[in-house]
Amino acid sequence: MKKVPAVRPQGCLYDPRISPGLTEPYSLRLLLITLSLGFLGLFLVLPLILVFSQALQKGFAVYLASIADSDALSAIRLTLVTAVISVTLNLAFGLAAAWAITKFRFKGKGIIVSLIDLPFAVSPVVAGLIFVLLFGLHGWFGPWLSDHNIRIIFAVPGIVLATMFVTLPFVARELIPLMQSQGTDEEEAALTLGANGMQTFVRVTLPNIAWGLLYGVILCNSRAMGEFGAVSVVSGHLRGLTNTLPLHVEILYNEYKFAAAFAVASLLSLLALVTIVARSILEWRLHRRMTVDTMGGELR
Amino acid sequence: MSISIRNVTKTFGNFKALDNISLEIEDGELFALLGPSGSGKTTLLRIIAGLEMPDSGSILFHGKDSTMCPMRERRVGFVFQHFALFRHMTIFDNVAFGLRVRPRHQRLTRSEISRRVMSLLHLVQLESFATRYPSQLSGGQRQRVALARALAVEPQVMLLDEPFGSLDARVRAELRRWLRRLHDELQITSVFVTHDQEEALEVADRVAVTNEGRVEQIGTPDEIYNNPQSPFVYEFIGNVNLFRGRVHEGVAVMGDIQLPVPELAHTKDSPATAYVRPHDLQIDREYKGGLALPAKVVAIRMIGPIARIGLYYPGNNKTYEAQVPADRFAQLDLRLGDMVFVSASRVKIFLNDGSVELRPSTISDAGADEAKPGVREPNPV
Repeated sequence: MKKVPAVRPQGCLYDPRISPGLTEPYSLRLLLITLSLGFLGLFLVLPLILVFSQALQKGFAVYLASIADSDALSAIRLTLVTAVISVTLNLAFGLAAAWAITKFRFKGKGIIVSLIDLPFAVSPVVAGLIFVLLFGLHGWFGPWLSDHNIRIIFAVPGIVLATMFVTLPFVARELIPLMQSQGTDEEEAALTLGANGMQTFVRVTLPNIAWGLLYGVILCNSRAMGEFGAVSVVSGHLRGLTNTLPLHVEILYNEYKFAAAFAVASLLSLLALVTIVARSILEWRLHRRMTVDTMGGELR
Repeated sequence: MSISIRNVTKTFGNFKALDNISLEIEDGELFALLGPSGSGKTTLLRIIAGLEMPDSGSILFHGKDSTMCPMRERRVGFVFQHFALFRHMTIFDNVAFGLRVRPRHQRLTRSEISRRVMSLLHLVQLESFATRYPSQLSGGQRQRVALARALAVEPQVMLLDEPFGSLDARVRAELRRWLRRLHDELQITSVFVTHDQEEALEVADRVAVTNEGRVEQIGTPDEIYNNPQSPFVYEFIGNVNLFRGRVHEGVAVMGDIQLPVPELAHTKDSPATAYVRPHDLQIDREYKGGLALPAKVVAIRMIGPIARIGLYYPGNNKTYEAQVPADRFAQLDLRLGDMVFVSASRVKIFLNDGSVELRPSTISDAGADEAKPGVREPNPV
């Protein structure tokens, strides 16, 4: 063990509360911090600045015009519709799955848990292709669907389906560990006090998982709005009809309309920023709740 | 309200939690289910509450079969081991919960609910905590909130799962006495589960000792302690010294100790175990006649009014525990390493093949026989 030097290194990285024997040398700390901050700046902050500067390169009027363009507006509308539908359905699915997995004993539980993660493992392009194979003109249900005049692929339903597939794990994965740590004691207590199933869910379960649920929904939403791969396969890129925001950005970019492309891209970036802020607020709240519970000795 | 449990069996996978259990719990009684963990006592409590369904058998409330009756109609108050308070609600809201979830036509008005909740909080001495959250309360306070919450729905039966299990020793002793007083005041039939024999014996009117899904013995605390019906109860309740051997034609032989057991005159060479409570062992400095073992004092521990003394018996190379009152201890003036004579005022012998017979015998009657009582390690429980 090295002896503590008589004169300790001074500077902003020196923390008098930490014993020098327990921490890395000053130079190494400086190197690590510079490295990670440099990386973040180069790959995250710089591109973000670039997006906004490119978007406003030809002035604010052009920026507004490219967003107010009718194709852009319909892309925004489609993105919002897709996000609302898929987030709502995934919310319902996530709640049901987490509830079933954490509050009941049944066979095949393990299989469900690993299946929920499947969309994370599968490439989005493959996910899109699955739906083409299922519902496309030459797919399994294709002939039946065209007989009944139902369009799924190259139409809004396909986009929603692909988005739902990709965003399926978010809510459930957020809720399962949370509900597992809370157990079923409070629900059982509610039942013994005479509450019915619905009252138990609304008054006991839901308030306990509300923040985790919101967190899952926000993650799910940002992914739903930003999804490119799977949607690109099933969309057909029909302008004003089946273009979502990310697809619209790509089209504009391929047509060398850089200012317009970056203007639309800046909307998506804004969404990302909002998500990050909301996420950190929620994370802070969730963390606080859990610490309070642990300190209160509520954990088994 | 009396509770009858008739031939209840419950299995989880391959594990038999309850094996054909029958019990009668009388109206207004404070009843304890006492047993080691995994003995099925909590499962039985949950079946009474309706949180679990028995595989077979039935539960009767006041003579009426309620096995299939949903939890809401059983009017049962349940206090969970970890209290299971609603962590997002204030203490007031926790206690009011059962009153607020009633169907509209049965529900009290807002002010009536408020009055009821405050009087319950008064009962558990927590009026000033109404606006706090569970995480801001101590363990003992949470326990009392859980009780008040269960009492709010005016249950006919109170069920408590390890009610003092997660509290520290002082709070536990205090709450124990408080629960007993509360029960005497309210006269609600109550069943509580515990693995702590002291708790069961001190608080309950009657105790059922459970082991491996079966009831070993039912009786008053006095009966359970002084007249255990099986080796398991003997070992589980209180400290006990035991020594193993065989019984053959009225004589128990344990190592070099021989004990006359005239009641077992017709038993042919059966394995047996003899039990002696530490406080049934007497220590003398001189041999006073009768059956007495020479032993060496190897440990002395004073616990308040009682001295626990470790005695090494060279005959079978084991150490046993005796408990003598402090004044007797002072009179003997024992030191480590002293040689003493140990005799037993009460010995119980169980034959190993089943719970066949038990024989209390008074050793000092045995005359000039060579036989000597013996005993085993201290603190066996």
